[in-house]
Amino acid sequence: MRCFDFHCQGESHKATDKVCQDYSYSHIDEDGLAIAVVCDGHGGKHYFRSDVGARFATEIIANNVREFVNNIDETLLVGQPFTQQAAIQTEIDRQDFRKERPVDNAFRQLFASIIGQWQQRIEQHAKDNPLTEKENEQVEEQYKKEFLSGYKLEKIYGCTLMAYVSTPKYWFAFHLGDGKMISFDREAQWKEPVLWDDRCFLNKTTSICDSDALNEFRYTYQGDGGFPVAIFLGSDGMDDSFGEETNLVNFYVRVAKSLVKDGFDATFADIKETLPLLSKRGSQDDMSIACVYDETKLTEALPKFILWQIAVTKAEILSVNKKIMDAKDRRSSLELSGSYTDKSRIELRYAQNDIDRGYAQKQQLLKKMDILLKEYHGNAFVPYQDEVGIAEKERVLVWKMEEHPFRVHLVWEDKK
Amino acid sequence: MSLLDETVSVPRRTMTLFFMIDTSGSMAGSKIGAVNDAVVNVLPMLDEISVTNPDAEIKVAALEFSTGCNWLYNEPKLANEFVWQDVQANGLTSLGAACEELENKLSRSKGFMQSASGSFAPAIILLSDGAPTDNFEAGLAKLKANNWFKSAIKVAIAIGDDADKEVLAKFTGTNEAVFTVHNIDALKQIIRVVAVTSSQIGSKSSTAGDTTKQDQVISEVQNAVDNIDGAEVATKVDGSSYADDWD
Repeated sequence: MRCFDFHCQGESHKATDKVCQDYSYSHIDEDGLAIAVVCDGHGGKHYFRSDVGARFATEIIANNVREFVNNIDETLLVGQPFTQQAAIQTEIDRQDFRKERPVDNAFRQLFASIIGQWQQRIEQHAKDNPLTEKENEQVEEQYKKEFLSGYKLEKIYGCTLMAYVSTPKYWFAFHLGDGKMISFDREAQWKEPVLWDDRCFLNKTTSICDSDALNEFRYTYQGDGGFPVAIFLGSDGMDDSFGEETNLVNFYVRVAKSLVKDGFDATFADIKETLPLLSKRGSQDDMSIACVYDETKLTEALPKFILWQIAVTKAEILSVNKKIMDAKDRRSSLELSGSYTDKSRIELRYAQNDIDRGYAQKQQLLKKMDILLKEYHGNAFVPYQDEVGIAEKERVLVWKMEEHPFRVHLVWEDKK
Repeated sequence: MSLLDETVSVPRRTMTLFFMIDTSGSMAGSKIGAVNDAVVNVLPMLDEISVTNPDAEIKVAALEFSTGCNWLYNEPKLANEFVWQDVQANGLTSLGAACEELENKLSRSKGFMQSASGSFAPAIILLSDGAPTDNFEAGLAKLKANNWFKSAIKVAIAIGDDADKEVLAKFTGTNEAVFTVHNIDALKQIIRVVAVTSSQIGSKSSTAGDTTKQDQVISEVQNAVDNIDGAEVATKVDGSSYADDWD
């Protein structure tokens, strides 16, 4: 097993002279216990010490899961199938209660301990660290008052958290708030191992600073011998950079392939170089990532990761082809309708735009596809081709005759 | 070597600006003419915000409602590609139906929205000069349960004294986000101010602390309204300073 983690300041934080509010951690102990943690301190002026809160949460989680693994009755987890548990708040909303077993009580104690220790630590930090000169200048009066009175201190330090823990016999993961955790199995199939919480939407998230934070933890465990080949934890700065989830997964596949082909050191150096660039091109937010992977199994699964990328790219090509063909149909029917209203002229322009945009996307996708095909097949690969092609052929108007019913009319056709 | 090679896609984030335009019979004449004129003129400004904004690109969608409702296009268009088709005024004011239709499209699976990751909350601008003639409350109730709507920047423009400002305040969630205009020039100016301000604030990653984007828009538009002759915040307690003049 190997692991890495990295966090960096986001582009928008650089612009506003705000510190990085993310924190990450990963470690593999001598006894094979692997831990990965990502915590994301909230933005906004109210949460002016969330960077400290995220660091404390990370450290407290790492300590608590070690203690949990050392003290838990293993039989609660060993042999258990893959089991996902939603937040209690979600169960209440759905009136579907599933946390009835001793293992669920054990997790609840773990989460209560994390919250309790985090609260103690931030209270101590607030006592030991009065407002700095910069905070005095920048923080709004109402939040300074809250800080000085100790009222709702947890808001000032608030953050989200996620963690993955594996031992030789079982693994578990938990999540409170947004960000995404993605795991891969040996068939290169991916999933979000921990259930999503629908209350996390756009810039709203559940948080360790919520009054009912204990009821907002979601978690998953498995002890029947199934382990992820690789698991990635990323703050919301990561998933906001990629939009569709498949793009995020594809990036992690790219990282996984690099770990196998280029090695750990080169890949980790690339991660450190890439994440600031990604923040600039994508979400502008702080970025953090933590990963645990099984080197041997990941190497075995490498061809399947490439095949997954090929399959996804093929699906994207087919989708673009359909858009091109639909736009061509729209254009043909508008051209042949003989209607020259403002609306039909506008629709015709949109159809042509869609065709041009479709072919531009197609060219990008074919470039990607050929890279992947070469990666999979080697130099003997055959470049991808299909009947829709990569650019529109020159078109000509030709007379067309239909016999039943007899009709002669003009149609556009691709020039031979 | 960067991991962001040709096999990795990093799409631009998106914010969609929705216009909901009352095209009932009472809007006929100078009011609808001013709306058409103002939106045509504001589109290049939205495009400029989109092009110069590193955070997100701006897309535009427009829903007109009279007796029933109708999208100008069946998908949001980039601001520079949106070709405004002048809307005509006639019929009733089916604002309830418009709310339901907006709710349909504020979703990823069957509507105009993309994955929440990588998207900004939409901005919605409602323009009306009258009162709903259908079941507005039922339509609004459905819309209010929608997560995209809950997060959206919502601003309403009351066109003249006959506009039902209470209804518009229910839509925006606060009467501070309802602005009344009393003449053609004020209508044109307020459309520009609201559309530009909503797009600028809505498509930015960083926000001013805990102030919601809607509050930021309200604050900026309120400041702008002070300098527009014939426009005012609908909450003005001491009555309107202006008389309607639509000729």
